[in-house]
Amino acid sequence: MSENREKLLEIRDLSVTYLTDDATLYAVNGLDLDLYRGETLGLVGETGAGKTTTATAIMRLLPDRVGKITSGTIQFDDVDITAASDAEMRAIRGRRISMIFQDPMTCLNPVLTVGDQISEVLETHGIRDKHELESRVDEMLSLVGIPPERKKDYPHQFSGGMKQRVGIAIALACEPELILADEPTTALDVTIQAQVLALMKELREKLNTAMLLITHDLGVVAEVCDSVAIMYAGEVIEYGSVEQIFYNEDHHPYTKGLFGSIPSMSEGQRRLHPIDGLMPDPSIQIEGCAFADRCPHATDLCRAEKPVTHTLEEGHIVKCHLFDKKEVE
Amino acid sequence: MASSGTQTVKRRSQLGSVVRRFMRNRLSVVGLVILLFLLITSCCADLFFDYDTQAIAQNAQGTFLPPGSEGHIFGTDQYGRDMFVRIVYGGRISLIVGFFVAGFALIFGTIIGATAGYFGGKIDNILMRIMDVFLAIPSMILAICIVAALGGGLTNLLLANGIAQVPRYARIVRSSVMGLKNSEFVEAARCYGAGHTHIIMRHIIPNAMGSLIVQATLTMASSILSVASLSFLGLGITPPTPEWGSMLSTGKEFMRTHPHLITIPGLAIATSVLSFNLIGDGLRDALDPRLKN
Repeated sequence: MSENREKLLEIRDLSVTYLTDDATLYAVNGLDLDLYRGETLGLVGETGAGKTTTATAIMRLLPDRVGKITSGTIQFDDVDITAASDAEMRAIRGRRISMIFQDPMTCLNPVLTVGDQISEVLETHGIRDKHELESRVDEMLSLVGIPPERKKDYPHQFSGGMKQRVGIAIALACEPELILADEPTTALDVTIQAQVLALMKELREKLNTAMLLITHDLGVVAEVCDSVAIMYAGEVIEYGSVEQIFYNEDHHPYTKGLFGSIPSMSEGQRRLHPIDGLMPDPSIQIEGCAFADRCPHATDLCRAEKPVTHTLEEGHIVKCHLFDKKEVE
Repeated sequence: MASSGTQTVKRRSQLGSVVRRFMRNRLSVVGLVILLFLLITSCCADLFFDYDTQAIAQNAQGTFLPPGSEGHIFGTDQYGRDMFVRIVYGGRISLIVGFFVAGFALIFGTIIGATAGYFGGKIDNILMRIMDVFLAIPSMILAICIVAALGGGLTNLLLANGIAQVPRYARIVRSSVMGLKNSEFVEAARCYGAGHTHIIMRHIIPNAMGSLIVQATLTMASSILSVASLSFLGLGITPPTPEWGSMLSTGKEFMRTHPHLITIPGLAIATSVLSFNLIGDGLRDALDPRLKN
């Protein structure tokens, strides 16, 4: 990785809670994250780890009156997202940060043609000229590999993979600096997944866009990401480059567990080793390490005290008590 | 539409498939034909008839002529006025009432309902409680009150009926908006920076339109009836202006001797209401996306 990387997104100590009628859910607890211009960061974790909440917080679209950022800062380039006004945020959404959704079946408006839906984004961000709009829409559609003459079609006339391409075209319409992709391939079948991923990778390189890729598919991560953040119970417990996460020896026990849960082609293992247990109830604030109850190496210290971050190697960060000694040595 | 390109796609626009599904329903097509007939005759009435001499002027020689008499297919009434011409001109008022009331209720109901449903919370509570107050009063009585307070005449009649219908629309719109505002495409719109007005106007309302159009056709039918009822009670259109309800009302005195004075306007009301209801039924089926094919 080159040395002159420019930081685009810096999240520090972000906490998000959901206030419901009968409980307060601590969805994100003190999350730190860095994303550099033009790079892809994979945000990995099981369901309920707070991945989507993090993305929604970056967009500042947490549900009204329910979701709340309780602490921390989100610095996007020169804007402090946690402090920006609503008008500033509207100008950023779609223009500088955009989002690709999990389910292409529901994220397109069924009563508008796909061409209208793309031009709408452009119009929202200041392009009013009819001819310019038309040509931009054509350009975007051909960019994602859809014949431009299909812009007059409605979403129900497209297949799932095509709809996701439209979703990508909408997200890229204003050439944003950052794309948040929330499990963009989960709803697609495997062959289409590969196509969409390749397309996203290609376009990202062409437009030099940074991407936060939310997924629970480690294969996808290996294929498209530059760096990886592993999330557990609303925290990033391990962060590093793809090489560090996939090839280094030392890992957070949870990361090891994750890798133990996928079948390997090379090693002759007979059984997979899933992680026992479930993620802790998000309505309880845990004193020690959130993973302690499921961790094979848990000690009393783990249950009593929150682990601090350890830098194992330049850029490889782990939040675990196991590495307390190692750093001292 | 493009016909070139590597792939040829069978194109069927949203509107096209709705029309096709509507046309498949024979009864609704009958309704549509009746409605078109009513529309054309009442729009072109001035080309064939003279309002002042034929619809209003009295003719002492030819009173109570039975239907089928020479020059008067529907006969004449107690003042010797041609029933057919009066029915045609009466149709004008009924259609104006139908379209205006439905349009008025549609516009205001949508504004109120969409605001309440989209923003929720206090705004929702305030608006919908006001609507509940209106709903608590039977619409006929509400209309009578408004007409009694503002006086008769077509404008007041339209307003009275329109206001009485607004709460129904507000409720329908609110409930569908509440469902739609959490849908993913609305969230997607928010993600590309769309403002509230844009989201409501462009994403939510078009998706809620289906049930509204159906409701509108039913309102047209019921408002024709309610204006006829108000006129029958003497609160609506005042004589000598031809109006189906008031024709019924004045005709009821001669019900025993000259039944055509009430059966003809009665049939006119029934046919027009039926046509709207049939169209409404057909539209409901045609607009329901679950029946797509």
